[in-house]
Amino acid sequence: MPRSPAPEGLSAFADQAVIDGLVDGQQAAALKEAARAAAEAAHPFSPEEEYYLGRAVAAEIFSAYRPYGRADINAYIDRLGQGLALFSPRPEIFAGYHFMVMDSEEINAIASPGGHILVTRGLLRKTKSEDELAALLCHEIVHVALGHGLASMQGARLAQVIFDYALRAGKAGGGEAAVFAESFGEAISELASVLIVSGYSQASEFRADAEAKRMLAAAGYDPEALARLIERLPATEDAGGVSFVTMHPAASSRLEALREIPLPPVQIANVSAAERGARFNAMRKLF
Amino acid sequence: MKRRTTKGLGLPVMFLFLTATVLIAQPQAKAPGEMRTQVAKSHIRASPSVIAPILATLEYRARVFVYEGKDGWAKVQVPGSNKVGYMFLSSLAEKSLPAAGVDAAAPGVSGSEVALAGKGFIAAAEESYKKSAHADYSRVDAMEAAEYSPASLLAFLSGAR
Repeated sequence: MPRSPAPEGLSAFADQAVIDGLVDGQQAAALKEAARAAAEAAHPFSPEEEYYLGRAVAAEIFSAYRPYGRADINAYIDRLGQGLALFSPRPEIFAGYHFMVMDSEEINAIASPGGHILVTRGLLRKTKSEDELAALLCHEIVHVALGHGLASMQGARLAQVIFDYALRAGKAGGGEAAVFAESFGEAISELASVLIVSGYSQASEFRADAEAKRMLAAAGYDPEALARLIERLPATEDAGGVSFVTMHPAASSRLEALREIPLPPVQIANVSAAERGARFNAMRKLF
Repeated sequence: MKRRTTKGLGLPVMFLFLTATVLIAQPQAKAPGEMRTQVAKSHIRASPSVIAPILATLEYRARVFVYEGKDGWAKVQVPGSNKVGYMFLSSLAEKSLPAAGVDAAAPGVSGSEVALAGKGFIAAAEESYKKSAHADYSRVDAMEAAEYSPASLLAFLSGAR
């Protein structure tokens, strides 16, 4: 997916707004400051804003991948994922968590900030049980629950997106947003690229592993399933060019970190391991 | 330099929008008081457990009286009754925007502007973006189509037939 050219800084951006007569110098300065402060806040976006930004990112990602057309596989992954999300650190996000399978040999999973989680067939084929499939979905859910996607945008870039978004929102219905549409689109494109290619910080990855393991235990899955999956993923780039593994810390450090996680008790009732196994085996033929 | 007036609600609302973006997404333990939901759909459960029965379903920005917040759960009054239930604390936000932030940034902001800042603004921004970027949201919309109740999700998860 081609990367757009690096954008100008927030200052040049705001200066252009002044030149175009959309704001005066004082307003531009105030907006810049507010955008910078918001970008540095622990939670610069409300769940609703996160959702709309996430939708823009997901639309961008879909331009790089083709959805897998099988309704049965998508329904299985979606129901499993939405159920697992109930055990996450943030079970209710603005419009909920949604899952879809991408028809690609790459070993990859991408989570948009709005709760849209995309998993490739290549990655699904690496799972050997519903426990391991659940482990991978939990890991992605946690990235959304803890807001890792937005955090991985550089501070200045995030400030620019907020500034542009606010400016655009302020002109809603006015049709003058075209001037900034290109830069906003570049910001979205860049975030999508970050999520597809380079992933999250190492700290975020360790945190996603830890929370995923807890979620597995709470949902009555084998908490060791995540470690097994991590061990099995290839150490080198696989077909398709983008390796799940190159985006993450080394397997050995992830496994080390996972060993010490205290686990909650099982919270779900009437688990049928036999049924989980049977349906996974039926579905995996279609991965 | 002549300033073109922006259409729509103007600059004060942009300041408001930016201030609104600093809303606390995951509040800590709360003293009793009213809060609003910050997600499109949230559930009140009979006890502080993911698998507890659902007592009520709330829409976006619904007002809820919170008795206390602890361990990620808010003990709340079920609206329209004197029953007590439990919600995910992360689904709730402060009822009003931080007053200091609003005053400092936007003198003379009216009550209706405060209300409007929370509604439709962001959806309108998406419409504008869709047109200008020729972004295709059809697959994103398709992804969001399927919705399941917590009870049915838990039944599926456990492997119930």
